[in-house]
Amino acid sequence: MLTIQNLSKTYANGVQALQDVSLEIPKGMFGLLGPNGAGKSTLMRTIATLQESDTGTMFLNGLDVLGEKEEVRKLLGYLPQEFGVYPRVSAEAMLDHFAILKGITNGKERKETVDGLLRMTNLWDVRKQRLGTFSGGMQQRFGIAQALLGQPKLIIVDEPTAGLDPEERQRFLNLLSEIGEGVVVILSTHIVDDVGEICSRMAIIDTGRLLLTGDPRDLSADLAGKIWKKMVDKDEVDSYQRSMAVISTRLFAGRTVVRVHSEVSPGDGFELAAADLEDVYFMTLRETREAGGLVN
Amino acid sequence: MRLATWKEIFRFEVKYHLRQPLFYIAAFALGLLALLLVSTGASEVFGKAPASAFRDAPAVIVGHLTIFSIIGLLVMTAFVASSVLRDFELGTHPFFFTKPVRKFDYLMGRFAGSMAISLALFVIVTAAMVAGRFVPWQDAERLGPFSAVPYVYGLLVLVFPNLLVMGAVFFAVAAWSRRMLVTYLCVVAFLILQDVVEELTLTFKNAFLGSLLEPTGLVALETVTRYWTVAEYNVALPALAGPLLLNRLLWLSVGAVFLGLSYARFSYSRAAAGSRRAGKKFSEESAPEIAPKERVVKPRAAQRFSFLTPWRQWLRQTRFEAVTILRGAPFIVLFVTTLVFVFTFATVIGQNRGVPVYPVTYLMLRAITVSMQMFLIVVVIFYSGELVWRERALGIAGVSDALPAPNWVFLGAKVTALVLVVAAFIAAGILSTITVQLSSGFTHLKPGLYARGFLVATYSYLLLAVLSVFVQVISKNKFIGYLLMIVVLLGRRGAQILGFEHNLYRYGGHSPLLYSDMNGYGHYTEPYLWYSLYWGFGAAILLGLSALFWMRGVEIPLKAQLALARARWRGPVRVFITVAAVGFVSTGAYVYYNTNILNEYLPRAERVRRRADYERKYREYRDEPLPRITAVRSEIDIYPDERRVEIRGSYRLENMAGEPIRTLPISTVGRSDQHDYLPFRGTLRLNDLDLPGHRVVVSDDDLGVYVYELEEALMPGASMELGFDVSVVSRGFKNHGMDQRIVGNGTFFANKNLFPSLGYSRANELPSPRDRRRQGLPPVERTAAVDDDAARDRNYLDADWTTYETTISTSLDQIAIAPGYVEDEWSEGDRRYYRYKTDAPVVNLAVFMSADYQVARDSWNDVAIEVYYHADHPFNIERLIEATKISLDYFTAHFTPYQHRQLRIVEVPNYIGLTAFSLASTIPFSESYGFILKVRRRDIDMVSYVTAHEVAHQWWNHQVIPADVQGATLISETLSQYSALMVMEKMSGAAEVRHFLEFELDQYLDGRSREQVAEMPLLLVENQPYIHYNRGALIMYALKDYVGEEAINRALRRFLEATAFQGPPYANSLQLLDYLREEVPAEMQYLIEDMFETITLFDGRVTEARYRRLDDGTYRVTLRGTARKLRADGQGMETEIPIADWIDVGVFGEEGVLFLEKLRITKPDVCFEVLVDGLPMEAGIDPYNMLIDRVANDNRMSVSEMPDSGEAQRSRSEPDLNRRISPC
Repeated sequence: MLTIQNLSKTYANGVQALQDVSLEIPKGMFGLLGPNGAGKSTLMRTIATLQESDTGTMFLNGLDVLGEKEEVRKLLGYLPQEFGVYPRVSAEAMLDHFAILKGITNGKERKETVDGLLRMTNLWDVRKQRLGTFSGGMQQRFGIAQALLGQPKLIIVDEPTAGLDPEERQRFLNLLSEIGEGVVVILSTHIVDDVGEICSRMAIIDTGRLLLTGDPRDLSADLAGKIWKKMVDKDEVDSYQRSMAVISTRLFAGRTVVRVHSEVSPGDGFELAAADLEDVYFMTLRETREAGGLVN
Repeated sequence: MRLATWKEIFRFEVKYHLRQPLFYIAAFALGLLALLLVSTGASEVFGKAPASAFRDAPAVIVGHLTIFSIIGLLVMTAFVASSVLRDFELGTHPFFFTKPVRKFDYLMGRFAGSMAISLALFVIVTAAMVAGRFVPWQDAERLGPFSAVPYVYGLLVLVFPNLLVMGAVFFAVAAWSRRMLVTYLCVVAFLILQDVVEELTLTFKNAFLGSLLEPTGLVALETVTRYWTVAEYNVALPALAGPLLLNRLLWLSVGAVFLGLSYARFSYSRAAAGSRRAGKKFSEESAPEIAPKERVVKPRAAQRFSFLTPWRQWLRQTRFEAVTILRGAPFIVLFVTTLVFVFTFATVIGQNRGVPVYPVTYLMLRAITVSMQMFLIVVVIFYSGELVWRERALGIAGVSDALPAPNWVFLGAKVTALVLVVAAFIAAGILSTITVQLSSGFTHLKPGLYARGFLVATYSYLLLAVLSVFVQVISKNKFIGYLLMIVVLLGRRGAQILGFEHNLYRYGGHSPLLYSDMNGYGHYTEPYLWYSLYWGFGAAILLGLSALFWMRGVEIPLKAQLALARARWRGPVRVFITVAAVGFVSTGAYVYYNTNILNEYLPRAERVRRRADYERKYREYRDEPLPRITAVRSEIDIYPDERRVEIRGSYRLENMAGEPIRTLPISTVGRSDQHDYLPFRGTLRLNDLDLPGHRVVVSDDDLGVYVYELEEALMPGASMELGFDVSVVSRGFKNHGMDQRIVGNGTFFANKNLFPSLGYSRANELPSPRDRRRQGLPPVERTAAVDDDAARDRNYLDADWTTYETTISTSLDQIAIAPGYVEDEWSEGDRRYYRYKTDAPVVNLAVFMSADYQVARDSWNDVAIEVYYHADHPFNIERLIEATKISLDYFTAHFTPYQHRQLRIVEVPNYIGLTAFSLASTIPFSESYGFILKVRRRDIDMVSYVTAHEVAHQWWNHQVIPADVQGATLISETLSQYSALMVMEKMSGAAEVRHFLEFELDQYLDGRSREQVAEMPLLLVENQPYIHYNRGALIMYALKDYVGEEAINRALRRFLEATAFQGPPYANSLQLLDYLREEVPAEMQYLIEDMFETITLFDGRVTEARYRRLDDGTYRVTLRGTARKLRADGQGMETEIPIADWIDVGVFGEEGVLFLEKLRITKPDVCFEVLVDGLPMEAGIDPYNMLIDRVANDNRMSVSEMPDSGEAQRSRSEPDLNRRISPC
């Protein structure tokens, strides 16, 4: 259990990346959802001991994350949003090296771990290849392999599916959910489906504030029967947006699908739609922004 | 349209650079450097111009501008490379390459823009140089009249072409490699190559080739201004002709070729494909389509965090860091270049006039450290930046920073990797010098010495690596870090120049660690170790601070960084820093106790002040009549292990002054050597002085001067005893200037170093005009005039005829040597005793030596020849003995008998430099000189030459002592040179002498161009080495050629017979000249004036040499040329004078000389026809360079066949059958 309380962070240029965030993250997969620039990465880096917060506390099963960085790192598996590699080192050698730095000092165990992770992430066949020649997906899988070295109690993966093709993404999510059992896994993303598919808990943050936490299934269930959709022409969209609580608009076959939130049927050709997590996400953002006068 | 685009890109480029800080930082830094250089007179030590030339002499300005263009290369490369790399680095290249911009417009616009910025930078630098003239602290006396011409000339001829050429080359490299790193490495390689070419040009004396190959024109400039005198420097601009012009044309075309290449090879499509991201080879095919069927169970590996874990992590990380460096292209490029440099240097080090030395290990170590120094500084600074910022540059920091390894693991691994890389360099250097040693058949390697040299060298770079890493850590940016390191290194150098000399605040500083094969590192070891320990703690503090400020995670502002450092100030880091600080302070205190309390810390300014004080206070005793020392008795006990000497002795003083002597000034600090002022300060103690009833007038413990007034004046003809008891006790160590004379093995001191001396010592006066000016002292007094009778009362060795009686003792394993013959020898306990005694008065210059010697004995007639040598240096013993015998043979046959029954050659440590001395029957010889030279068959036999020269001093110094007036060294040195040349001619033939004289001519011309006061004619030479050694050798050999060996030797013998063993008035050069003059035929009397009384130069030149084969099988050679005669004044201003001289005219064929005669030449235009029997190959006017000629290599020309023409037939005059030569 990771307990975050009153976490705030303001950058030197005045940007408030985190504003009084309090959050409880239980074992299992936890999805952190928010648009670009919402403060997800700041939060993730702070948990991953790479950044100081201005105020607030953070405890992992009683361990002071902000104060005992060294100890936290022993329990940590971290995949940053963007990372590079030593281009001339092979995947196997690099992983072996990281394993030592992770404290896996027994040679035999290290070899087993490295081999196992390479197989698990499907990099076994290319393990001798230089990292510089890896594609984006392979690099990402390598990233997850290094994050899983040892037996991390806290796994943080920041935007792991960005840049992956659909198949790779699927494979990656499967892998993640497999290893997520029994430990805290925090997955930050701006892709709603990532969360919906594998997370048992989630939070939405925007402009540094925590907007919503809950079980993704409960959250979308709450909206059941309140989401309506209609296919309209492009030039009609504006007028719907003015008159109704439009959650999202999406292009489909040259026309636009408009989804609105309404307790009752809005009529006018709208039909009931199955509420999904994306509706929750957009609803939340929309409500907050309207409340804060941030209508775009 | 196209023009507009080109202009657009050009304008964009210029504006871009004007928005960047680099331009302003560079303009400020270089401008400031230029201003300081010109305004502080640092220019006097910067460059090749003579120190007495104007600070703004045209050639000096041009030279400085050229050097600035080399320094500015790094900045210029940044401009130029950025112009071509920027788009790739920023990923903006697709924007440009998809626009309809022509390749030409893009490339040339960028190039021209960055060039314009570079040129502007140098215009600013030039302006700063001009401004340096006008600053208030400028010394107006040192400036010539202002003229803009040299500045403009320098910019147009040297700077701008250099920028264009180098700009084009590095533009091409950048365009081709797409990598800033590769471009910079090429710049470093270029700078090193430039340096190597410059060095090799000097070493191999191929000025013309060097002038062409060295790209910046610096060597060409040096070639053009070679042998320039002060007068020429002050007015002349180096002409844009000859090597300089060729150099400029050659390199401008190279630049054009590179520019063309970068245009031709650049293509937008390749550019796009070549960029980093797109350049990866994808390997999608190897990724399987679907996830593996079998579910992989995640392996369970334990993370173990014990006390040992971080150490294992550190080991592993070190290996990782080191391997990534060692595998990289930059390392391999630097490594190979360095080894080439080491190899080259190791084969030429220690050479003397082309004669190599035996590759002894300490010279090999020196070759490694000297040739690697620049590389390793670059390597350490460069890679420390690379390593510290590597995780961030590669974007891997996010992963690695979150790993459970403490900060010190990464920090320590990076420093260790740097040290390993340095160690790899040095180890490889050692392997290459071992190769050099073995390949020349030298097997006496010293592994222990190599090991120590390796540790010492590596340790100094370890300290540098820690500093450099620390600077990188705190500067938060790689390039700021580099800049800071350069500032730190320059600052360390600058502080030294400003007189901050204490090694306690010079990072990594230590007292010199001198090595001698005889004495090892000896007593230099202990202070070195203490300083190393001290700076080791200093580096540990920096290391600790680096850990406190180590960046982990995202970059944070300074304030937060400080807060973080405070938060990290706990646990092991805190203990580490505290322990290091305690160590630093306590070792520092111990060092301070040694350098400043046990000994006296004397920075240069203080030494200068004391010397000036001595002069101010005691100059009044300068002309005080003094008694002369006629007998010296002493008991000397040398304790090599303690570096202690006890001396009890007495002088017999006789009044020869002709007036009663009352005042007796005595100096007890040890008279200074040339380089080493008061070397025994603080260690030499006067325990007792014993003289008859007296009153103390001055008792100056500080300067060691005591003046006594005798109660009873010493009457003329009377004598008295002066007893003394002094000891040298070495305590602790000094910051610098440790005594080099009393050492563990190889003690070598002179009486003047330790014995009390009488009167005021002129040798203690400050020699440097600048120091004197600053101290408010009048200019140094010139040597007394040759005919100054009062000055002839003393001789230039400042020593009278005296006898010596010495009992000397040393440790059992050593042999002690003192003046005279061994009377007795015995052992007592753990001491060995010798009693030495002279059998006739000798010049009062005595040396005392003690070392563990091997002795080789031989004899010549009844003279015992002994060579005392170090066991490791047996190479040249036979040669030394042979040369001694032949010298004794020749000198006794042609001059006068040898005055001693023995001749001892004694090896002494190389602390004295590359030199040998000659004292009565004793010749101390530096271990690095004659003892390790390796004379091969075709080399000049410098071992024999130097031996002969020193043996000759037994006549020229020890039979006739010149008076302390002008021309003294004509007698002592020039005549020794002549004598040695004659021995060389006997031993090796005239051709070797001529070869030797080529070096002498070069050194003479070079020496006179550096003259600071005035060049004197040989007759009046004022102890100017380039005159009495180099010009002297040339003149005497030429004179011998004119009047014959017998005539010269007769004159010398008569001179010796007239003056040998003479007391005051001592001999002068006028006397010598009289004897020489008598031997010169009437029609050649002008030679005396030209050679001795004036500075006369010749300009002989062959302009045409052709031959025609005659019907009778002989050849008629037509030789045209010029022969001009020039007189120079002391500043080198030359005026042509009419010629009426006997000059060699020669024709040479396959077999050698076909014709060689001295002909009287009476007009500058020379034309001769010569009939010879064999096929002529070469012809020349003064072909053997008997006369001093600034351009020696145009005196000969190869002869070509004359085209057959009727005209030539008609002009044929009747041959004079009696003479084979006739004017044409």
